[in-house]
Amino acid sequence: MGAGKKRSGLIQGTLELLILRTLHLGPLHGHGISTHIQQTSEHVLQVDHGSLYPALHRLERNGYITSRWEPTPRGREMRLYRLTAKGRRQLGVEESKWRVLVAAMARILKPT
Amino acid sequence: MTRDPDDEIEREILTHLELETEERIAEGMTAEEAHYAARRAFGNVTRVREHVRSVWRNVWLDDIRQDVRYALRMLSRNPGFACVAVLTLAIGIGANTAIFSVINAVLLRPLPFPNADRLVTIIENRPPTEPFDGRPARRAPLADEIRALGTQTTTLADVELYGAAPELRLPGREEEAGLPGARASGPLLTMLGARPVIGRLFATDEQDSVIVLSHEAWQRDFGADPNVVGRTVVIDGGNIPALRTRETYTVVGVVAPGFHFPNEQVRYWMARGGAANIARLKEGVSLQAAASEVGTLLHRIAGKPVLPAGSSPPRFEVVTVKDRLVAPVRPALRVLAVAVGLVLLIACANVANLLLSRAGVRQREMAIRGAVGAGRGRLVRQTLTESTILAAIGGAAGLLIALGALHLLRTLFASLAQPSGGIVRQIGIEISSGAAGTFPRMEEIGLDTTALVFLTFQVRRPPSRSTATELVALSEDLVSALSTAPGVQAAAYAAELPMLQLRMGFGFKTTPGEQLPEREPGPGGATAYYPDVRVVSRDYFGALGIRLIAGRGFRDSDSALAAPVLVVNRELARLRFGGQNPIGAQLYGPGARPWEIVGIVDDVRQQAADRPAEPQVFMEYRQWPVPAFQLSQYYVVRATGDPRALLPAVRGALRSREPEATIEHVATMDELTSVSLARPRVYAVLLGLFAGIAVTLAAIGIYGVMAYTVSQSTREIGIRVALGAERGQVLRLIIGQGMVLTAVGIAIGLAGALAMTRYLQGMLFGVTPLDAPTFVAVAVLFALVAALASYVPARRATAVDPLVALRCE
Repeated sequence: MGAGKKRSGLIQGTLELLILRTLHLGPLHGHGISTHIQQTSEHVLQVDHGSLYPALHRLERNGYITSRWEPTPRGREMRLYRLTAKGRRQLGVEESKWRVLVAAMARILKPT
Repeated sequence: MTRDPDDEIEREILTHLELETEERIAEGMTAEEAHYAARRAFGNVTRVREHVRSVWRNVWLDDIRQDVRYALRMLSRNPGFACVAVLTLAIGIGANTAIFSVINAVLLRPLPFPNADRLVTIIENRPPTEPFDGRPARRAPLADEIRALGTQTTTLADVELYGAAPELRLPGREEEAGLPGARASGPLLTMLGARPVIGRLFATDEQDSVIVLSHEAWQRDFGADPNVVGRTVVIDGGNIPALRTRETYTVVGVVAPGFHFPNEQVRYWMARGGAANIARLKEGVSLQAAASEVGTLLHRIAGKPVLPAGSSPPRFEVVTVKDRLVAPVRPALRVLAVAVGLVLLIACANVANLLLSRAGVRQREMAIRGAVGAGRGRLVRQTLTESTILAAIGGAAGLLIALGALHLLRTLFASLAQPSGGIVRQIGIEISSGAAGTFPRMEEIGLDTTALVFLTFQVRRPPSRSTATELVALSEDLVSALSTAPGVQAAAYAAELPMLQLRMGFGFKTTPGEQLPEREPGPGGATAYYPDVRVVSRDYFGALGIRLIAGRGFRDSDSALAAPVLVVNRELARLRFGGQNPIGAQLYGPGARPWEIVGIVDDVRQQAADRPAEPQVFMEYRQWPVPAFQLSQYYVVRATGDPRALLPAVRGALRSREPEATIEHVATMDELTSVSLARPRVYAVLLGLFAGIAVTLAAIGIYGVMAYTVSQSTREIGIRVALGAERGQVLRLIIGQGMVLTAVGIAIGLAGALAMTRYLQGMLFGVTPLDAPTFVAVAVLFALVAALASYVPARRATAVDPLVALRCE
C-alpha cells in the first residue's frame, strides 16, 4: 500500500471507487483495470499493483464484484471481474461521498 | 472462495506479469529486460500474495499456526537448547510450587473460619512481682472472669471459652488412642462457621450431656450411620484420675465436612467448659479499642491492681488469633519466601540467558525474513510464539514435577501436618501429644539403640475415688512387678504434664524473695530460671539409661512427706551454678517447701547436635507439689527383643492387680520418635531443598549458556584449526575464556552470599556467617560445571573436519 500512496497520493478507499467505476463500463481483468485507470487519468494516477489485487479481492469479499476465469481472445485464461447489482449501488454511494468531499475541499481552498 | 485461493492468486499475478512483459516487449525492450521491468513495476510479489491471501483468510489463525509449526521445528532442530530451557523452567516452576504448597499448608494455612481476621484471644500476663499461683506467667484469664467479661464488653462479641475434652473411646478399641475431643459452645461453633449436616449443633447454654461429631469421625468411626443422632457414647473424665467420671453422652449432630476446631485432630465436641478463650471483634472496632476496654473491664472483674503506666507487657492483652499463630514462624517464613523468589529468579535468568544467546545467533535469519516481506510486528509475533511455546512446555513439565514432588514431600512430612497446624498448640491448651513429650528419644540418651527397645503405654483405670497417693502406690506396684517380668530389663513411669505452658511456667528461685527475670511469652526454650520440669518415678534414670554423674538419684525415702528433692541435669548445673557443685543447694519453686538438689544426671542431648541441652530438673512423682493438677502416668518398659512381645506379660501383671484396668496408647519408642519432628528441622530441610534446587538450576543454566556459546564458536574453531592451530591450544583458549567469565561470576556470587548470610544470621538461630566448606564446595562445583560446559562442545568442535566447521552456521 505504501508505494501506491507515495506515487499517486490516493486517499484510502479511492482505489476501490476507481475500480468500481472502471468495471461499470464493462468486465475487465486486473491488469486491464490498472491500465485503464492509468490511461484515463492521463498517467496522473499510477496504480500500485501491490494494492490493486488486495483491493479487488476486498471488493469481491464484500460482494460488490464477482470474478471468473474466462478465456480471452488471445487464448490465455484470465480472471475477469464484473460489477454486481450491490456493487452498482455502492458505486453510487461512493461517488456521492466523493462529490461531498470535493465540494468541501473547494470551499476551503476558495480564493478569498 | 472455494477454489484453492493460493493457486488462483498465483495464476492471476503470473498472467498480470505476462501482460506487463508483453507490453514492454511491444515498446521495444528485450525479453529479459521486459521480464525484469515488469516484475519491478509490480512490486514485491510475495507481499502482494500475502496481502491478498490475508484479505480472505482469518489472518490470525493462519499466522499463528504457521508460527507454532515453525517454532516447534526450530525447537526440535536445537534439542540441546530446548531441553535446557524446558528443564530449567520445569524444575524452577515445579519444585518451587511443591515446596511452596507445603509451606502454605503447614505454616501459612489461614484460619479456615469466616471472618478469621476478627478473631482474637485475651491473655493475662502475671507480673513477676506477684507470687506464683500455680499458673504460668502468661496465660488465659480464669473462666469465670471471661464469662463475666462476655456480659459486659461492648467491643467484643461471642466471647467464648473452649478447651480440651477427654478422649472418646469406642468399645473394643481400648488399646488404640481414643478420639480427641474439644469443648466448644454452640455459639462458638456457629461463629466459626460450623454447620450441621445431620441433627443440630449445641444450643446456647446447652445443659444436656450431648456431643457433636466431626464429619471424619462420623464417617470413619461411626460408619456414616444415618441414624447416628441419638446414639450414646461413654466418655471418661480423662486425665485427672480422682475426678474421673464415666458419663454417657448422646450424639445430637454431625458437622459439615471440612470444619475443624481447634485443630484437625479433634473428632467431637462437648458443649461446656474450657479454659482458653476466643472472641470476635465487633464491626468497626479496632484492636486497640478492644484491648483498652477489655483491660479496664478485666481489671475490675479480676480485682487485680493496675500496673504502673508504661509497664510492658500490659496485664491484659488482646491479640489476634492469626498473629498468635504466625508470629513464631514469621521470620522463618520471610526467609523461605525469599528463597522461593530467588529460585524463581534463577530459573528466569537462566532461560533469559538462553534465549538471548539464541537471539544473537538468529540475526541473519531475522534479516532474511524481513527482506522476504515480514513486517516487524510479524517477526516479534514469531519470536513471542516461540517463547510462549517454550514456556507452555516448561510449565506443563513443571506441573508434572510439582505433582510428583508434592507426593514425595507429603510422605516425607507425613507427620508434620499434625502437631504444628492448629490454634491449640499456640494458645496454650494442648491436646495431649502423649508420651512423645514425656520421654527423651533414644539417640538423645546416647544409648546403643540396637539392642534395646522401649515400650510405652498408659493405663486406664475405671473412675474411682482413689486419692493421688493410692494411685501412685498402684503405679509403683505395677512397675516393680513389671521389672521382674521375663524379657524386661527395667520399668518406670513419668508424668505427662497437662499443659505445655504449665510445665514451662515454674520458676526456681535461689531465695524466696528473688525476683526472677521476666519469662518470655509464648512457648519457648527452657532457661536456668524456668527449667524443663520432669516428674518421674524412682527408676526412671535407670530404666532409660540416663547416667548419674554426681550425688544420688531418687530413693524410697523420697516420699510425699519427706523433704522435697530435685535431680538436675548437667546443663542446669552449669547455667545456674557455674563451676560450683550444686548438690545441697536449695531452690524455691512450686510448693511451700524449698527443694534440695541431691543429684546431677548427664544431659539428654536435644534435637540438633550443635544445640546445647535444655536445663532440666527432675522431681520424684510422689513429691509433686500441686495437687490441683493431677498427673497421668506414662509407663515405659525397657526390653530386649520385640517390645510388643511383652504386652501379654504387661497385661497379665496389670490384670492380677487391677482387674478393671486396661492398657491404652501402646507405642514403641520408634513409633513415638517418628511422630515428632521438630520445627527447626523442617525449616532446615525445606531450606536445604531450596538450596539444592537453586544449585541444580544454576548449574544447568551455566552449562546451557556456556555450551551454547561455545558451540557457536565452531566456525572460529574451524578457522583456527584450518590455519594450523593444535587442538590442545584451541581447547585451552576456549576453556580459558570461559573460565575467566566463570571466575568473575563466582567472585560476585561469593560476595553476595557473604552479605546474605550476615543478614540471615539475624533471622535464624545458630547460623554461622562464614560456612567455609559450603562456600568452597559451591565455588568448586560451579567452576567444574563451567569447565565441563566449555570443554565438551569445544572438543566436539575441534574434532570436526575444519571444512565442515567453516561451512556451518
